[in-house]
Amino acid sequence: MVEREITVCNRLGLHARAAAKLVQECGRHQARVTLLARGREVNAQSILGVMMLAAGKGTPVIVRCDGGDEEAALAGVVALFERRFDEPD
Amino acid sequence: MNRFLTTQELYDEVRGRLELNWPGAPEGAERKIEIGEGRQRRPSLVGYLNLIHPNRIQILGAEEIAFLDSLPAATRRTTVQRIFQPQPAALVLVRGIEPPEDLAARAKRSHVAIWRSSKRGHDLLTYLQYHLARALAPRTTLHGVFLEVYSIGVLITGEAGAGKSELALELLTRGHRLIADDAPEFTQIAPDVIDGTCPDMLQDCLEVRGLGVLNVREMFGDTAVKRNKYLRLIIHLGPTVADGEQDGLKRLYGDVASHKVFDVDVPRLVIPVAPGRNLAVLVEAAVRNHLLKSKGIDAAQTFVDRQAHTMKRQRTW
Repeated sequence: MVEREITVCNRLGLHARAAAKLVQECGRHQARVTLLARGREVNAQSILGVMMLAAGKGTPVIVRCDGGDEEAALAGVVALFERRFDEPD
Repeated sequence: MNRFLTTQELYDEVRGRLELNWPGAPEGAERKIEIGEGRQRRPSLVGYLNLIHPNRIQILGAEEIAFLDSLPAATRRTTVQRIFQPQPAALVLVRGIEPPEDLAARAKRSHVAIWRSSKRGHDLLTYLQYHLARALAPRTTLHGVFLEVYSIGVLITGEAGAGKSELALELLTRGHRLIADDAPEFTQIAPDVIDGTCPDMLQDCLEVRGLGVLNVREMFGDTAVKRNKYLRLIIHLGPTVADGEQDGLKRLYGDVASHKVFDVDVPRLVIPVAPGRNLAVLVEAAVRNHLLKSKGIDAAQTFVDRQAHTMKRQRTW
């Protein structure tokens, strides 16, 4: 199991489009990906769960990957956050 | 596909309704009435006597005859000539008016049908326009099963063997109705209305693998079959997509796009087929959701808006 803490840095936070991209990225890996924020733990493969976090800009989020290609999954998810979900701001 | 009608066919279809008769030997029975392309295209196929934009079917009432009668003999002759010059399909005299002799003679010589009706010109005009618009409307056949689900017309499409007919059978047992299996015919009867019917040949039939052809009317009763229905929704049975391949937003909004039938956009929904999925339940839910959306209730959009609102209100960490 690997995990890393990152901060949501895009202006709109984990809104619908960003959550959709995150779920899609997690679907590419076998590892089980979990997000922890505001004391809540959700499965990152479930779009409703990810949106329920309502993680706005500046919210710290812990990404936890377990099993299979956990390293690759973690790198993929962290890269997505750092790219600001390919959004302009 | 543009169809055409011959004068004879049109006469046979509307004679009862419009109280038409065709005095004398039927002349010009094979003349075609069709929607032309390019320069031949006419603003309307049927109308009151018009020499500038000649109609295929010219209606003559008391006013037109009075106009002809008011002309000096020489002008009258050239006017009658001009009526027949564009080769109309038929002339219709309304309210039982007798055709003037010169008109009748000229019609006989040019082989143009002269019909008489006891109806008023206006009734004739509205009915013929309606009838011709329907009869000559663009028509196409789409592959799939056309059903009525919760009172709206739904076309189920998918590759051969995707389970369309089995799905239709299950929806029938749940009380929905069949319009046509395999090759429903669609006609654009108004700018935004597509009407689907069953070709006569396939009426009441449903082909299911392993069972052969079933007669739905005999099996489920008269109420299980419907003659026609407007096409409102297309549901496509598609292959299953791996999680990482599918666009994440489709998880929220569903896989909805639109499909052009003639120039009308019909919403098209893709439901992935997988063993163990209850497609009938999914189709019912899809139709209910479509009905709600058309009333302005969009669950996905409401949820997205609610989440965005919550996120804005929360203080940042």
